[in-house]
This record gives sequence, structure tokens and C-alpha cells, in this order.
Amino acid sequence: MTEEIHVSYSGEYWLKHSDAPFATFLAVVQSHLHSEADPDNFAALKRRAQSDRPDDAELQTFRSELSRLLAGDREGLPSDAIGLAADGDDWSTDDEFLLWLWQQLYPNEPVPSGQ
Amino acid sequence: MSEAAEPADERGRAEADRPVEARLSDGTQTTSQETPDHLSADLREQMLRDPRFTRLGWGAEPGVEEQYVAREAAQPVADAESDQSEETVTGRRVAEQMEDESSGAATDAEDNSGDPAEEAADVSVPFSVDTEVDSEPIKSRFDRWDPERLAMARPPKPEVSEADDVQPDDRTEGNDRRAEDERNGVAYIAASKDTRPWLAPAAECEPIVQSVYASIDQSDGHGHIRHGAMGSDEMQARRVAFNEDPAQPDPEKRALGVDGIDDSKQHYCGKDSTRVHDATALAAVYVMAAEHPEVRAVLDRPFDENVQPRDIAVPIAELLGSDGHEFCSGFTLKGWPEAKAARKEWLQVARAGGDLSEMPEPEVERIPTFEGGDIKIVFKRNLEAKRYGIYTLFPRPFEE
Repeated sequence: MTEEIHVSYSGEYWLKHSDAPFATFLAVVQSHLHSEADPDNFAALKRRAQSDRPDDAELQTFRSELSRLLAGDREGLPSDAIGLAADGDDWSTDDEFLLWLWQQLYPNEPVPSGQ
Repeated sequence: MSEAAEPADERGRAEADRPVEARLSDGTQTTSQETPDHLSADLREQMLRDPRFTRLGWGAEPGVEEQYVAREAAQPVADAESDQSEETVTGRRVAEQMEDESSGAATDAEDNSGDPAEEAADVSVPFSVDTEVDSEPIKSRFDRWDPERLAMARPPKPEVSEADDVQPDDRTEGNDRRAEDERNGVAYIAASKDTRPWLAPAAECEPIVQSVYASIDQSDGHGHIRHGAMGSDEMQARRVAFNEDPAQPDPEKRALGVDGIDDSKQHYCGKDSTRVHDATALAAVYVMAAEHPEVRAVLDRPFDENVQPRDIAVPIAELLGSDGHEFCSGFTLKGWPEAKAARKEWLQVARAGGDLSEMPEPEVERIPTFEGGDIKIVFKRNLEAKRYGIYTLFPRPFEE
């Protein structure tokens, strides 16, 4: 009988566990939107998102994970993870942040939903 | 390379560490170093060691004072025979508290300056470049230091006249080049430390350390500014509590939260603010990072101006040796993440001169230790050089 092992993560787990839940999304958010990041980085992410190159594996994973989050899939995501990655105080909730982020990066595309 | 010199330039540190006078909503001004005068000197000292920092100072929040008063009242009265034991108990209690504060502040601070915000971090044993990492002294990495490996410029020549070329001669090689960089680095620090106070801690360090700082200061990064040896730990505590930017040299603007690097915006600090509080240690972090395989894996990758590398976390021990965590210190916002919104609201009201009487003020806690922790390295895209470089770096405590 195979026993399932559930691992729960905490803190900035994506720094050391690149295959953990939503690690790519959180790492990309942190390196572009964290208060310690270069303020010019987000503009670069927008350009990168707009170019949407199929060979940009990191961006494709990021987009996929952002879509899942917007659709309500938070499995394995610690409750404070998004707040740690994007540590600003311009958003009241994670949902507010995720919606804003999608609209900034993919303004001409419908927001993914769980329906 | 000889042993690291004495710690930071006192005048430079004093300037950078000038008490920030916070404007409170009731119109009074207070420095963060005040503690109630009516308590005994011993209890005042203990309060100043309290890891809780508030706008009234260390351990000085309402309610905490009563705890200290009660504690003093419970102490046995000293008589002629037990004077020694009383002193010993008190001294031991203070020593135990200092031992508990086991972050970068390794030793008890005999605060001769009378500045209670001068933490033990400022008088701890200096970092030694004889420290070994991978069986090799860090000193040898300083001997190999080349700022170009971090996409940094060499220290600029002192400006003698407009006609002189201020760029170092790239044709200079080997030891001559290093000697030139050290001369220029020392001159740069001496000329710049008054207007760029984050350089002052390096002013009394070895010339090679000053050379490293001069190169870091030419690059577009803030690790040495916000997360370095300037000032005391109080600046980190106030950064977390009140979004006051250590990079802001104007005390009035700092108290108002004006960002020191971009004064068109308000400064924001996340959950923690940390630093490497020894100037030589901070330089060593950059020097060691230049050769660390995980860092090189980022810096040496093909450059794409739209691709930002992820942050990485390198164990402190791999950069500063097994005791490197002793040179790290910092604070965390108590009650994160809910405290984030509360802090924002409190600051909005405080800076507008509103009524704070019913609002819980931000509380911070000292991070007890960085043993087992990392240095987080944040990269940048150097568009001019078309290379990746280091934007900032700072210590993180151990996370399970």
C-alpha cells in the first residue's frame, strides 16, 4: 500500500523548493513586485508577458499558475504566501492582487474563472 | 592582507545614527531613546535591551513599564552582606537577556556614548577575514576580488580637475591595478562618506574593503545602504515599525517616510528588515558571492533585458563562515500579515497629525538569531552592460 505524504510549506518556501506548489508564480511575483526588487522590474515583466513566447517556459508556468489561482485553485498554497511574495500594502486581499496582476499583464484577455 | 582594522568611523556613525525625532499626534516630539526617568538605572538598561521596540523606545510601551516596575518591586532589598550577590543577580539577568538576544549582537553593549539605541551589534567583535569557508580564508577571496565579476565598476579616481580623466586606467594590470583600486577606493570613501553616510562604516576598514564599497556604491543597488553597517539596529526597527528608510539621510524626511532612493515616493518595508552590521562582513558577502556557484549561475547566464532572474537564498555559512550569523541582525513586524494593514492605517493617521489614542501602534520584535539562515540575493538587469548584477542582499533567519 502506498502511503501519501503531504508536505506543508511555510515562509518563502519557493526560494528553496522550486517544485513546490505555485513556486514559479511566487518566485516571479517576488522578483518583480517585492519591495526589495528593482522598481523597473515590473515593466519588464509586462513586456515579457506581452511577447508571450512559447519557448519561455518560466513565463508559461507563471501564467498557468496565475490562471489556476484566479480560478480558485489554492491547493498547497500557504495563506500568507502571496502576501510575502508581493509584500506591498496596496491590496486588501489576495484576490484583489491576483485580479490586478492579470489585468496588468494580460489586459486584452478575459480573467480566468472557476466557472 | 592584514587583519581588519578597528570598527566604523565614530563621527560617520554618529551622524548616521542621530536620533530620529518622531512627531507624535499630540504634537510632542520624542526620540526613540527615551525611557522613564523614574525607574532605576538597572531597570532602564533592561528595558533598553527588551526586544520589543515601540515609538516610545525599547520596551517602553504602555503596560510594559508596569511590568518592569513590578519586577523591581519584587527584587530583594540589598544589604551590606548581599550587595555583591544582588549586583551579581542583576548583572546575570542583564547578561541572560543579552544572551537571549542572540542575533548579530554577540556581546553586551557598554553604552559609553549614553546613546541607549546603540545596540550590542555596534561593539561586537569585528569580522575577521581570516575566517575560513571551504577550508580557505575569506582573505584570499579579497585578494582575488575583481568588481567586474559582479558587473560593477572599479572605484573612480578622485576628481582633481575637470580636465582629468576620472576613470581608472584599464590597461593597469595585476597588483598595480589592485593598488590603484585601493587608493581610489579610500579616496572615494573619504570624499563621499559625509554626504553618503552608508559609506562611513567602511572608512576605518582595510583599503581593500573600502575598494569593494566604492565599487558597490557605483552600482545601482541598495544592499550596502539599507542592509549594511550604517547606524544602529534602531534604524532597522524603525524601518519595520514606521517605514522609515535608512537610505534617507534627512532625518525629517526619514521620519515622514520619504524614500531615500526615490524621494518622489513613500518608503515601504515588508515583514522584516535585516542587515549585516559589520562593514567588513558586508564587503565579504559581496566578495564571496562573486565566486559562489549559485550566484555565478545567474550572473553568467545569457542576458535578456526582459527576463529578471529569481531571487536566491545562499546559506550565511557559505559566505561568512560558521559564525557568520553573529554579524546579522534585524526585526520583524509583530502580527504579520494582519499588522501590515494596521501599520498602514496608523502611519496615515500619524503623519496627518490625527488622533492615535484608539489605534494600536505597530510593534516589532527582534529576530532572535540568524543561525542556519541565508543571505537573500536580489538581482538586477544592467541594461547598459547587458549583464545581470546584484541589486541588493540581506540576511534571512532560518526557515523550516
